[in-house]
Amino acid sequence: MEDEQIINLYWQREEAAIAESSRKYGTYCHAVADSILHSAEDAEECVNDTWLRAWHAMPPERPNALRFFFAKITRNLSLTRWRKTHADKRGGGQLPLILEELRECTDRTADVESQVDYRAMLESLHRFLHALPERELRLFLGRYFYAKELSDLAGTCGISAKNASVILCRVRKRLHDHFVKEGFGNDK
Amino acid sequence: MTNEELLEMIGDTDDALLEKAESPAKSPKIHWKRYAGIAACLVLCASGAAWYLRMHKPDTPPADGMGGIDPTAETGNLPILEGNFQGGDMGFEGLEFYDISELKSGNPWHEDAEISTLPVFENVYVFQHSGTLAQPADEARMFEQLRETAAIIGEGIDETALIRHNTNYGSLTLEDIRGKFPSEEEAIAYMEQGSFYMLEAVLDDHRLTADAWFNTRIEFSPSIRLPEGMDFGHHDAYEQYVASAEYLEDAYMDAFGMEEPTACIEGGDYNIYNEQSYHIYFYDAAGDMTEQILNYNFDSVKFACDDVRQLWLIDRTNIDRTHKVGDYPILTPEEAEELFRNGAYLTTVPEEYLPEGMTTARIELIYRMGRSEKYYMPYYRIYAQIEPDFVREYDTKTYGAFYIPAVRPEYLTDVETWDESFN
Repeated sequence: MEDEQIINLYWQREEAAIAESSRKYGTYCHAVADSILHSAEDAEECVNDTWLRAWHAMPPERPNALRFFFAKITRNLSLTRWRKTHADKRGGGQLPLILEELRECTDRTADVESQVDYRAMLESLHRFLHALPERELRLFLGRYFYAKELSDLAGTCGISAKNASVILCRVRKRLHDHFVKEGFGNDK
Repeated sequence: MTNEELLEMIGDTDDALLEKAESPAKSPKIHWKRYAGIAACLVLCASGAAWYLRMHKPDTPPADGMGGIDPTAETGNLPILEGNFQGGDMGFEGLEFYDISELKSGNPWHEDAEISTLPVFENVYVFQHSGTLAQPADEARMFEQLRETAAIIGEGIDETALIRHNTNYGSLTLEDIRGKFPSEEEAIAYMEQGSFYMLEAVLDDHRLTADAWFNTRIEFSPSIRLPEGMDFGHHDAYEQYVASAEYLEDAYMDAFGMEEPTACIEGGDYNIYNEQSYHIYFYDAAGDMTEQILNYNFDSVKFACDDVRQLWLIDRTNIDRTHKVGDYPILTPEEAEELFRNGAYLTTVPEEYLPEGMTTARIELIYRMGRSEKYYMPYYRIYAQIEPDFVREYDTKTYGAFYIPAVRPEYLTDVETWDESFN
């Protein structure tokens, strides 16, 4: 079924919308959740919650890219679930590593939530990402949006995992400098 | 902004950027793909020779094409091993060392082993591009393996609480299966399509799995604290791994029924932070050289620690050896090296990383054991120094891996052996 038809089902409050979403994007969303949670059971629940969230969001929303609309919901739900279930456990999966890596991009003095203009900073992030070469963009979003392992990412780019790690290290450094330059952090 | 806030923000990335990041990657420069067309043009009369050169075009083909190896030799009654190498998106196989002598291996094979034949086995459960197994996994056998594995740690298995992993629907409990399929017949028919590949049991403190290829795994949760001085971490010194292996052998290896369990501390390569890492394996060193080689490659027990130096994983690799194709004559290491020097090898190292006149830094004989391998067959793996274009912070050298099928070329046509993964 075409995405437009699935969106129409949501707008018409047809429960078939959920079945069709699951049929077309269930595996994809499961992969998104599983990369973060490393638990088939938790991932399954997040995917099921994704359809519920989508049900509440459409209408009024009418996403341009249904695939990414679902992916973003699944990702958010998975991150929330990960925080709840892993807050007091030993680090499993990729997220602890990913968070550690992202620390290099942020204001290193910020240990608590800071009051930044979210919209302005998001636009700054978009400017940075749009300027990245394709390979670097693929690696960055693969790692920090989809929480994929370095070896998997390296595979999609035809490079070694170590090479991918070096490239990502440089991108993080550049992002940090970019944020500083645009006034979203200090150079420490 | 904190790192957690940034992680959240990346979740609001433009769809256009996500689309761009998901677009098909440009094909990596993999040798055998690049030279697939060229190989057909080479003047070689025998299929075996053509197969080799499909992987990599020698700069200067040897006068006799195969460096003295006769690809038209008699093959007797042994089946010719057929198939096609499959390329695809992948990273390249390379390791970082200051010197190749830092590479540790417990491989019982050595250059003076004087082995003239080695068995080749068929992987009847070969994982196909369709995402299914060539024949349905044997659920009864997997269950029996789970039960045996559970017994090792003094546990039992609740048959009704098993989780079935398959490539189409992910993980399914019995309840899930009943919910998805209106009748038991439909559920069974679905399982028999070949997408079912692993059985899992979740116990109070452990997670156990058994897969279609005879591998079993125990994950401890919480992980197990090892005695002080016997524990090991991700980047400990080699000597610490040796000490840990001695303890693990005494504590666990009796349960695996090996006659002469022998520890292998393998690895020693460096990561980008200049940290070395090793792995602990055991294999059965009983029997003659051939048996040891088979045990080393097909039947091993791996122990892994978590971030806090506690034991969290025991991984038993016990690949199916029941479908033997035959004992195949193999090349000598000298012949394999000659082929390597002539550029007749398989590699994932990009062409631009290959220096002129590569020399063998290390050679070993291994079986490739990927799930997509149609045959489990021996290869010579040669490590040679290469020249990648990335900048290093440390003065390590990169050694690429180059594979030469050990089975003599007259027994090979287009062998489908590469599953895009590394041993």
